[in-house]
Amino acid sequence: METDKNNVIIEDWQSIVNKPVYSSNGKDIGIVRSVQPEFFISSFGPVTHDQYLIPKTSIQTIKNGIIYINEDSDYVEKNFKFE
Amino acid sequence: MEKEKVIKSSSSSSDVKRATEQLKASYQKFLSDSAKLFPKVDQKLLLDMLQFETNYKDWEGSVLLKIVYDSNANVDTEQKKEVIYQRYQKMPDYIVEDRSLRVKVIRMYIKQLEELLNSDSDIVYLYGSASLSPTDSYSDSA
Repeated sequence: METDKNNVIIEDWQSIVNKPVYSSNGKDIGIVRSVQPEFFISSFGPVTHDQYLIPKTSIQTIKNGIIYINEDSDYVEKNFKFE
Repeated sequence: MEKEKVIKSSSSSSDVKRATEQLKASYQKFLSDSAKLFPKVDQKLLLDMLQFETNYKDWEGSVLLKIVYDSNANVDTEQKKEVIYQRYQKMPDYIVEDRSLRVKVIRMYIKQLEELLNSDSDIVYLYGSASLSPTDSYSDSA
């Protein structure tokens, strides 16, 4: 069982794979593709994927199968995007 | 005779189940260990490299490597390109989002991957693809 600063408890990190991710201002960041020990990878786009390396500690909450993160879309584009 | 057959069949079915469960548990532990030992490496890349390296003794370590640096570290990607060139005699051809480099290298084995990670704490993630045959092509879609 793991917790982060938001006290989100995720027992099985693999369970977030294929779940949609939204920024704090409601922008679609994509779908979780894989989970690393400290980050998860989210990709967005039908053909050329934008990829984001998002710290697990950024997860604010998970509601109805949707992952909401603490950061807004500008921050995400600037700091988490890597491809 | 008939009875004996039934008993044997039932026993072998449970053996199969036990073997399956044991194999799955071993695999899960292996994945967990690999994630702990190489937390910054994409697991698919790591497992592909491990498979090629252990199964094909003459594998030349052909890897399309994508290196992601810490966005908070303000890395100089041009300088990082030079470092990669010095190390592998291959110049990364592609910079993405001012924090990722892509380079096609050979003789890249797990040990070299570990050395690369240990040599540069700015690296936050390594991914890409390993291929069996050596090629300079960048067509791999990893």
